[in-house]
Amino acid sequence: MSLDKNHFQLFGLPQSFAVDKLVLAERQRTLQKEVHPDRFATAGERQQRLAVQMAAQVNQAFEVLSSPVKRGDYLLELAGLDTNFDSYTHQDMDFLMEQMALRDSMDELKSMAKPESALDDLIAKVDRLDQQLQQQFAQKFECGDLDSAKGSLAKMHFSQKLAAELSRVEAELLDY
Amino acid sequence: MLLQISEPGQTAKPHARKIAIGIDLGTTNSIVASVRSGSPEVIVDAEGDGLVPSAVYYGEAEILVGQAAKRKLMLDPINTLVSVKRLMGRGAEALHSLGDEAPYRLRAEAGGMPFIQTRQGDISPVQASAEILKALAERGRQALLGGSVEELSGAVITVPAYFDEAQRQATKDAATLAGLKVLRLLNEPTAAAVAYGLDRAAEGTIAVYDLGGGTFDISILRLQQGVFQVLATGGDSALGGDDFDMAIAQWVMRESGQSQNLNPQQQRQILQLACQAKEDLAQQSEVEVQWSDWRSSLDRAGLQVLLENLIAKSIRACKRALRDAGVRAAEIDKVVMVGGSTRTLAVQAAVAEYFGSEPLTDINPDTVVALGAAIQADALVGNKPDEDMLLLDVIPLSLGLETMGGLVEKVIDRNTPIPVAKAQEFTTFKDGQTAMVVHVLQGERDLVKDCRSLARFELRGIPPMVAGAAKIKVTFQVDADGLLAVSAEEVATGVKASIDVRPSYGLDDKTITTMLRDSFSHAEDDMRARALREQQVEADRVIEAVLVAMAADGEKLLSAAEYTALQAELELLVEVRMQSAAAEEIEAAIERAGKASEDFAARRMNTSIVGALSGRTLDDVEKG
Repeated sequence: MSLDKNHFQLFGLPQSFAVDKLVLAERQRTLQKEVHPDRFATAGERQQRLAVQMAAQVNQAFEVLSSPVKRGDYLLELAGLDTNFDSYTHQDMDFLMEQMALRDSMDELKSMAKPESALDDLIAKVDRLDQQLQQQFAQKFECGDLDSAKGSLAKMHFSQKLAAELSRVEAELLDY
Repeated sequence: MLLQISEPGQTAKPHARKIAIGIDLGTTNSIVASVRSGSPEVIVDAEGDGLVPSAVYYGEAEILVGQAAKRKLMLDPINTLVSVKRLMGRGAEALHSLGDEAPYRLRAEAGGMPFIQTRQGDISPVQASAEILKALAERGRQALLGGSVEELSGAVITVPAYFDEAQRQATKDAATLAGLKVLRLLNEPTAAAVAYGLDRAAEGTIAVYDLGGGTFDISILRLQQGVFQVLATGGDSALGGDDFDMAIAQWVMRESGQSQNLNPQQQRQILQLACQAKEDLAQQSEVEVQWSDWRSSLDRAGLQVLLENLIAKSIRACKRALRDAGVRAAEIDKVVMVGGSTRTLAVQAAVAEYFGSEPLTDINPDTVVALGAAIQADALVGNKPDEDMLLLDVIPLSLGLETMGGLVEKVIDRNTPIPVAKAQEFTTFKDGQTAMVVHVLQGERDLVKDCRSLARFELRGIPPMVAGAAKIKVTFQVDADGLLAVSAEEVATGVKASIDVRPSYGLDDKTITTMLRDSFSHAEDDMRARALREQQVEADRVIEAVLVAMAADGEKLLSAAEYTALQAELELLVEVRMQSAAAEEIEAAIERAGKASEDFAARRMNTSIVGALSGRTLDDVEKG
């Protein structure tokens, strides 16, 4: 038993890469007010189970719609494309070189006495690159060039892994 | 018999105020509270005392709980159980957390949960906690319902935010044993935020700094449009006021030239001395400290130096939580203080400095959690239909699975909002393989040995295929209480695999049923009476819920035939509920009525979603 809608429909949003974060958060709260199991705390067990399933579905949709990479994957899946990037071969050598350079910069941070400003610069750089990739994806997706869009999405996956590692390095360096 | 279904817009039954309680089930003390005439109150005993020591005494014929049990601690330590919360959902290795001096005789099954040997037999921590919960519920029932035969509608029980799934499950099992309907397991910091937040009806971002005797919890929450959303939670399960006492005691030993070899009694004395100095410094600026013939004084600045490193540890955990929440310290609008150790002024000063605002301390940090639980319990039973309050919590620790080489692969990351469901696909590695074992773990580390083992699931009934051909989709669902359920299905054939759950440190359902039976001295009759009562209550819940739903939306969402069919099912349930004395019969009737109404319930939720999003009423939506 589930809500018979895709994530965009569930949140009442157009099926597009552009998503307004504030609207998304507001709808998340609105939907949970309707389906959260706490709304059915004194109803029977079956109604409770149903509410748990539906609230989980709302949370899942929110997670996918909030993350650019997951949202991209989802849009391509809805369009019938395979989004398993584990064995994807990147064609763009310049992009790969750039990524390797960024990784080297990240490794260098670890041996710096005062890495703070270099760290901030690197985070900003990775963030800029990510924004560019998202724009590329959005452009190609909206005009229906799904194969090129998939290429951009593969790069977004790459870039996201780097951002995640950078975040771990930041935690280590700043003693969180 | 014909069932009265009222016209749309009218409630099916006159709305009766329901009685619910909030319970703070603590390590040292527990508290029960309830909302009475609009505001939450701690329920006190005849002496005006709200704290119930979390102690259980197993005597020759009786079981005592609270003060009465605590008084037996010195006389009969072996049969007086304290601090059992530390053992909830833990393996035998957790026993050391009770200290070296715990006098209990223990029986631990290999790798399994510990039992404490008392004169009334082997007692699990779950059973001892159930006794405490029973006593608290009875205190609540007496105060709120007096001599009436009416029962409590349910309870919200608080747990530390860092509690893993096994510890939460153990807490819920204890409530089941105590015969309590759990409306929700609520995280302690969230409860505290509710106690503060609802008073002020504020919007904003809140940090809850919860420093108890042995543990530290930090939660970051956002309150917006009546929704309390936990953004991140973290902490240190080995940092608390006890460490403060230890730091002060070590200072005394250093300064007085006391050798490190204290006997257990001296250890207790010096820790008591340290604790006293700490507490006095919350009231006065300087204290005299005396240890045998050594004498000195300690002032607040001196105490701050001694505690600096420990407090800094808590601030680091705050940084991590803020980072997980994606919030900067300056964006925190309010800081709520919970736990007795936040009375230490050096703690308040450090927290104020880090967050850049004075922490809220006006609610007693010992009772704030129980008060928040009472407010939430009151809302959950529907006493505040006009208030749109909702709590959205997160899973505190990542859930993962054991993979090759003793590694853990994460399935659900920590701080993911709950309820959540995630599916993972597995395949077979041998031709004709029909079973496989899945090991579920919780924690942030990469190695199996560094995470907490929650359970092993054995999937059986996989259709035999060549290696790698079978795809088994295993779905992990975590509910709003943070409790896990697992289901599995072979993707190609749709064959459901059956699952044997073996909790690593918990009780399986069969054991709980046995314990329930054993807990009645007159066994069978009591057991049957209670099972019957439980099914009657559940039947009433279902009947009321479906009646209300049909009155509201039945005509809109059901065809005439569907309406009549559902009405007939419900009438059948009412009839069985009124006439049958067999729990199994009522259970079967509930199941039938539940099945018959499930589609209607799903349709209602779907429609309410559409309505909520478009800001229109259900009527408008139906009219298109």
